[in-house]
Amino acid sequence: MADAVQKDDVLQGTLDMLVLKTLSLEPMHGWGITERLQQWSRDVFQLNQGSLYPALYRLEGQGFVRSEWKTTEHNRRARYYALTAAGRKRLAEEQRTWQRASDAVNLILAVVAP
Amino acid sequence: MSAFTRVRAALSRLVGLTRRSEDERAMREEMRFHVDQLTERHVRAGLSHAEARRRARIEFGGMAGHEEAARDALRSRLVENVVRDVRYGWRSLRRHPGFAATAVLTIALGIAATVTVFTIVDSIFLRPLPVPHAERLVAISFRRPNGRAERVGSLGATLLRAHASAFDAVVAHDSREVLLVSARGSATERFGAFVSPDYFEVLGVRPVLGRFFLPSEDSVPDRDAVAVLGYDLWRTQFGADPRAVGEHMQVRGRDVIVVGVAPPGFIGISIGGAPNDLWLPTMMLGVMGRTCLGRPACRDADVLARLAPGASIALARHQVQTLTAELGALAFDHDTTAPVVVAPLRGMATDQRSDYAGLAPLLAGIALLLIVIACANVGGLLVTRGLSRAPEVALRYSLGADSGRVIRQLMTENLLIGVAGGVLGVLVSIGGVRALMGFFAHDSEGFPHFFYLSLDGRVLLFAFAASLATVALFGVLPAVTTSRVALAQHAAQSRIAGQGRGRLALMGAQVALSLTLLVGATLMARSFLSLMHRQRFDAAHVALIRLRPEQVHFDPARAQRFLRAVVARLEGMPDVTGVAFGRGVGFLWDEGPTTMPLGRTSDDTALLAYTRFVSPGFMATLRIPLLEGREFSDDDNERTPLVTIVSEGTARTLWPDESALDRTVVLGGKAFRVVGVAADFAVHPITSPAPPMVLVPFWQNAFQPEVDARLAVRVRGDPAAALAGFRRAINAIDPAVPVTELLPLSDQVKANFTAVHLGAVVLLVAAGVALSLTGLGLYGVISYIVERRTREIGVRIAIGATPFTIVVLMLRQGLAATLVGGTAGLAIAALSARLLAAYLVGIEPGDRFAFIAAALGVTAVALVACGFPARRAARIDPMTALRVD
Repeated sequence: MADAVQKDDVLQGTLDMLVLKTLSLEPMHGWGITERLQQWSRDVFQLNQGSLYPALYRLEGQGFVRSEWKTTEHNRRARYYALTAAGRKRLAEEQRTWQRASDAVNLILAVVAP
Repeated sequence: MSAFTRVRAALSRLVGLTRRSEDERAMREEMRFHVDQLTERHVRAGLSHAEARRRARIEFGGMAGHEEAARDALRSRLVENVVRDVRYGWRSLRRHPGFAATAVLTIALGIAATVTVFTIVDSIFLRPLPVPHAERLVAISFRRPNGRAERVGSLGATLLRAHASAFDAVVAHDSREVLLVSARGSATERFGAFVSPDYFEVLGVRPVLGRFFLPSEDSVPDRDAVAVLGYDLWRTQFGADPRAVGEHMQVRGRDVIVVGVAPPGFIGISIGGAPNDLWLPTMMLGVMGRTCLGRPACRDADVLARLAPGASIALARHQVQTLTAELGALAFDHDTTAPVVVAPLRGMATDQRSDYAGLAPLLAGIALLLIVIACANVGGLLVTRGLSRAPEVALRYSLGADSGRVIRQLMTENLLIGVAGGVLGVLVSIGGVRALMGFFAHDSEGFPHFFYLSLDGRVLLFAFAASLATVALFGVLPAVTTSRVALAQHAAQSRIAGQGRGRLALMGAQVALSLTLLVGATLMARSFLSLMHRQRFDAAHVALIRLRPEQVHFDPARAQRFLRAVVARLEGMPDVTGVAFGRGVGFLWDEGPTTMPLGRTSDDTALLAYTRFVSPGFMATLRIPLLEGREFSDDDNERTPLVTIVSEGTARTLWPDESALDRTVVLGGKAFRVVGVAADFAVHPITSPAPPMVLVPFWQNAFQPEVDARLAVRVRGDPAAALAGFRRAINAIDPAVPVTELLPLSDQVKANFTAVHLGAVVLLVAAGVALSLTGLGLYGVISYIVERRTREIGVRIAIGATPFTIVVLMLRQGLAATLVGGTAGLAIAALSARLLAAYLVGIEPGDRFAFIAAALGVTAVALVACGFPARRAARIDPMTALRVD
């Protein structure tokens, strides 16, 4: 990769949470989710973009998001994904879990420092 | 069930294919959109288009890999989707319990009717015996030009065994004999069979005790008196004692030795006859009084054969054909041209079918009508429901749901209804089959008939296919029209009006069919009532009993002493109000035991009179009207002059202008003085005018001393409940005398008219169901119209319409549909009533009363069904109505 900033793959298992978080603002299409994620993470996360779709279908199957076809402002048909009530709940849970885990990791790192 | 698996596979392939291609298309489009956007961004950043596209592809990652992963995700969703659809459908149905219940019940009724009729037709006509290799068993018989079957006989069986290589076994059997069995001090009457030794092997049964017959035991007439017990006989008569084998017992007074016991549940092969409970070799038919065994023209047994492995029925037919002349020579004394028929052994024995043959198409026709009505009704319901859901569906479209998804959702809901209706229908049909087969349970002498009755897989599969097809057909329709509604919503209003008209047309068709059924039902009911009433005797509260001292070799004097004792004992019982007795095979039913020449003088005996030998009090007990003179008394006995009672018809024929009393008639060469004139009472068949009939006193023994007798006992309560007590009372006098054929007289009367009775009951039930469905349907459609037009009605009331004009306005359409449908129904009924002609006694197929009554009945139902919603319309409050959006 030619870019100056080193890019990491999205952390294993956090993709679903990040997608839900992104959609918690407003319904958007897959491309929009990618853009938003890169923007928020200041381009640290290099999403393997195609892998977003299986994740979206899975989330829709689990009832956390729902989708509908709409027209974009540039007059193209795109599938927009939106958070369902169940998705909102799920996001809150995942955030809590994530928070606890990362707090714990930070604590450990602080202790072991020389 | 390979058929079932195949259907299921096809279905899932169908669903899977359509879904997958749709999802696939969406997925590709979505991914293409993504790559396009990415490309655009790179172009904006200054890359050439080709380079931008290349970069976009790289960043997106391996398309094929993503697609595969996406497909996996979609596939696992499929199952979840179905679960969600089912849950959603269930919730949606629970929000509309009235609709759901009506739809499910309607389908259940249609399915119940079909399954019931198919099961009965299957059991009576189509089902093979429940034995191994049943498909290889054939029945072989002569067919007379008049269609009657004639037995081939044991000699024919022997010939076939030797010369027809298409068969690997040929069995001779006579499966319909009533046998009095005395064993270990008590007597019982059972149906038995006389069979050749290979009978058991061919039917695949093994003895639970002892052995079956040896070939040598069926070779010489009347030599080997051996018997195989039925399991039930062994249990009840021998207490399931293993020492029964080797024991002696009496069969119709003949001493026989028990050699074995048949397995439980094995009851022979006479489907539609009585279950067998005892077997003897065919060479023991002398027990039944056969003296021709081993000689030509005896026709002592039916013949069935098993096709050899690999042999076709065509080959068997060909071989039997070439033996026709020899078989004929063995079966008839003279040259006969009767062809031999080889038929698969299925359902009831062919010679018994004729009694029921007409019923199968009648029942099937009724079931078909009910199904059509049920389908029309469900269709109407679903169409209305589809329309009332238009806003919901339109909302889902505008939220972006694709049409496939919506249709699938609606279909899931309909399938739920279909499955529930199917399950309920099958449950109802189990009861229906039992109820209908109750009509076939006994013959007119109280002997049981048996059928192998159970719902089989094919019938169930058919039922479910039918119920699913119904909902699929009418379920797709609203889904599709609703889709269109969503696309062109402004057009919806006119379409809804159109569909209201469509439903009215459906209702008209239903009215027509229900009216047809109702006319048929009224005709049959009147026919049955006329059969029951034209008997001119009162069958209620009468029990029949048959005494058979002849079977235990009583002489006439002893038999008559016994009979007098029995009558005295019965007359002394608390609830007995009269005892009559007489002689004869059917007592009241057969053409009469004896036909004798009758006339005014010994030279003039032009008439043949049915002669009945009856006791004093015979007419009083059976309530046969005595038109003139007196009944017999105890004083009419062997020491007093011969007397007779003649029937009304006889009296009118012999003495057209004067009273018959005290005249002399010559009957069978003897002179009798007429002491009474009786009303013509029924003889079978009732359809013909009453033949000449005379009654003579039982005790006068004018022709031959009587031994056996049949009793008719009038009781205060339920005759069926009194039977056991009568049997005990008679056994107490002499336990050795067989007491048989105990049954209520009314059962005997009904059993003689099973076809008419069954037809009347089925038609009445069917007409009731059809009328209720039509009423429900009319109610639904008018309610729907009222609801749709609430605003308009409000306006009309506001500008001064009276409630009456509103009611008329609302009734008009429903009644118009009823009128048109009713007229069509009368025409259909007039045409189809002729199909019932065979069952109509005492009335014409064009019976005006039936048509008028049925028309009035349908009109009344229509008025009530339309009246309720119409009244609701008249009470609409204009203020509220105008606020409806």
